[in-house]
Amino acid sequence: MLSYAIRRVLLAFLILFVVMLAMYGMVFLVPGDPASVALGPRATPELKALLTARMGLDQPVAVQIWNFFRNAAAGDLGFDVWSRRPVLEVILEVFPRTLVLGLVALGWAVGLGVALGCLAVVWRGRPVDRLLGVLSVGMIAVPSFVVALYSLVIFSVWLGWLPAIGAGERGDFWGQARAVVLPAFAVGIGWVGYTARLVRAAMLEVMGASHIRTARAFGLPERIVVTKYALRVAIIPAIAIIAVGLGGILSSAVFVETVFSRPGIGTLITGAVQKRNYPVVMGTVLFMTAFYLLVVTLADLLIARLDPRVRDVLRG
Amino acid sequence: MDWRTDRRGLLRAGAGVLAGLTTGLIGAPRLAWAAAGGTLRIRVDSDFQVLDPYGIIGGLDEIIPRCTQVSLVRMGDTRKGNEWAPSGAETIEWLDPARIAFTLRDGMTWTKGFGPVTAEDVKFSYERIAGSDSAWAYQFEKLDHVEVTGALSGIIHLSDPFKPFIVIAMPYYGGHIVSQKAVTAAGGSYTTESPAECGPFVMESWEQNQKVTLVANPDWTGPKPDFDRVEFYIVSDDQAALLAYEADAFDFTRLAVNATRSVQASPPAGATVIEAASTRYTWLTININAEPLRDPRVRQAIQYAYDSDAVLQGAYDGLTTRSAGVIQPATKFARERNLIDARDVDKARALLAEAGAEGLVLQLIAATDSTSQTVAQIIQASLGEAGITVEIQPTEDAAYWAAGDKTQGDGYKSIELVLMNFAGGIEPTENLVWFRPDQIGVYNWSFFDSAEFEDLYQKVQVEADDDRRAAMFNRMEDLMELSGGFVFICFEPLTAIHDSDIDPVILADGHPDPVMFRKL
Repeated sequence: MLSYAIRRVLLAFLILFVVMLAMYGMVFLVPGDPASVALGPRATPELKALLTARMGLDQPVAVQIWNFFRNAAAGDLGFDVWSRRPVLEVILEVFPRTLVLGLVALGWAVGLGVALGCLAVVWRGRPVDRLLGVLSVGMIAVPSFVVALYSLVIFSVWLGWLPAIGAGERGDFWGQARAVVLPAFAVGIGWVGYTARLVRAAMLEVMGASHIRTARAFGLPERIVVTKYALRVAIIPAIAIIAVGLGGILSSAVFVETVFSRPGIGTLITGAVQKRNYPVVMGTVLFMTAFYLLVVTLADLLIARLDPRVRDVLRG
Repeated sequence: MDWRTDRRGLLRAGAGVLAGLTTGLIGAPRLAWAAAGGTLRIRVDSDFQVLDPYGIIGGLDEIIPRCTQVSLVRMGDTRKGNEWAPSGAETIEWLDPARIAFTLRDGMTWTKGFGPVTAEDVKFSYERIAGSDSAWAYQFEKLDHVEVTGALSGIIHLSDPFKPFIVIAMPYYGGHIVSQKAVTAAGGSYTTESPAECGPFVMESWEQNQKVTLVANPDWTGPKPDFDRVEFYIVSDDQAALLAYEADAFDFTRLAVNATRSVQASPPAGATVIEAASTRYTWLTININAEPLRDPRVRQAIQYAYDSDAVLQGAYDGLTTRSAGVIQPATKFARERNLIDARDVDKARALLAEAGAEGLVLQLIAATDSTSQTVAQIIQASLGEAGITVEIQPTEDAAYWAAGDKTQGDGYKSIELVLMNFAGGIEPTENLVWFRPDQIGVYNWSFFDSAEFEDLYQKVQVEADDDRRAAMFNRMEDLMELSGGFVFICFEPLTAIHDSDIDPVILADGHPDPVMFRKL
């Protein structure tokens, strides 16, 4: 188990290293001088020189790469070339907003998805099962930005129930809660269908297991059999998928944050790319990759801890 | 406490963490979805980058200093004739055709303890830009020097008589006054943090790519604006911005041209739609220097093949008419019509055959917004009828401006077609300045290089007679068209929507002046 954990962590660091290298290479692969591209033709030579220096692009390439890796290893992701604030500080300011959006989206999506998956199993083969199948696939197929736009039209413009943009005022819990509803709905809807299909498939496999037959033989109600005995086993594969899903959900957040003008990692990175604010682009990608790897690694370790079958395999 | 890693414990802990994160983790989110009272909420499409007038790039860069700095004069609404009036100046008068005397309004002070606004600040602000590498140096091309005659008074000396100086140089862009002491202390220039402000508003907060908030400057002694707080919301997408407006997230936003008709047909309750002429001119750049376009007959073929009616109807919903140059139509200096005014596909085909350029394939660079893409597609279709294959390259903003920039390598020499638009000024020379030879590889992407044009440009600046100026301007636009480097498309309509209980003021560059907005 320990050696497995060490291997997973080392793999995570390797991936991180490759991502950092790729991100840094991107600066040199994109044609044109980043400072000039960022500032446009109206920029003065002094301003271009200033921006070049702020990005550290006035130094030899080898020095730049060395500085980048050394600083990143020490937790220093550089400075935002416009606001001159530390990139890490900028990221940590907006990351909780994206994280909350992702968790709320994932929370409602998994909750509803699991419930629908269970219902589909209880009524398997019946019209309800087929209807849930169609609904699930439909939810997976609809792009999140389309859901975002339509939900904005319905709930903000027509009904006026929920805010159209933003994340709520500081210290206003209900304002923040209202502001997260539509974005989380748009981000999570695809995962409702996905989770429902996943849980249904896993449950159907579990429902044929001997302990389920035993439970039925004891005369337990089907509701208890499904929720208490089948779901407990079937939910384990979902953990890994949900961990991977969090990465997908955070990616969807890029579009949804743009539509709802919601501060977060998505709007941060979009704005940084548009302005060729490379320290922020690289820092944000690095941070998000690290976060994603952390979640996936933790999920793998948890599964190894929770699932006796995996545990046995690791023990050899 | 016993930490159990069983399934039930995991689910319980997960639920707890989720709830905790949802309710407690965020103390920071603070983007408003609706403010009211003395707050003016304006939507803009991109964040600011440089606030220093020396290096202002455009858009919000320019709108913020309208609020936080002063300029000697302030322009009025472009729909009401672009009248200027003293602003930071108490008085301003021509002593003779080459000298302007000014006296600053008493009581204006810089924030952060940099003392009163003085005539020395005016001298510093103007002279640091004149003759420099700043993009706004052209505003001060006729500035000789500023003579300080008192703490609050001075005389602006011009190298030649130049009547438009007041409207070109003073109201905006390079004309915003900065504090000499503060800028010097900041190292001679600045980007996003103004070292000292003195206008009706000061910046309260900046949430990058989200929102900029200005609040009333407590030390401002001039006329009070109607609003004590201005919030700029940065929403890049026009369609999303319109929806947000309808959901009462802003008081004012620009409208996408192609959405204007439908909004006009059924405007939201309590909203007013603005549809007016703007100074933003659009044209098709044809690079004279590009290999496939060196033969003037090929360039002329493009001018003949271009279908103006289709573009005006298809992309602009008939909200504007064809332009005959870069000078605003319906003004006394505008050319009446293009030399090639009517489409003639047969003639275009004949010219291409004559030049041996059948089967020509050209690359058209266009911005990614919906209007630009629609125009590009119609150009593609209309040139296709003449046998020219046009491949459209939708290009995002930063890469777009790099395409014709000579500091980005030699790529600018070989770009072929580019759909371009600039926000213009009210003085024609402000629009023509970008096509001078020294602008090749900067803004003149056609490689248009005419000695006669440059000669006329110099002469027209000192010419006082309007009729003679008009003739000169017309000839300059003839030269542009005759070069084959341009197809003039239109002046884009200015379209916006705002709450009916406010009276917005929009300057000639198409951007709002929040200081002048009034409550009704």
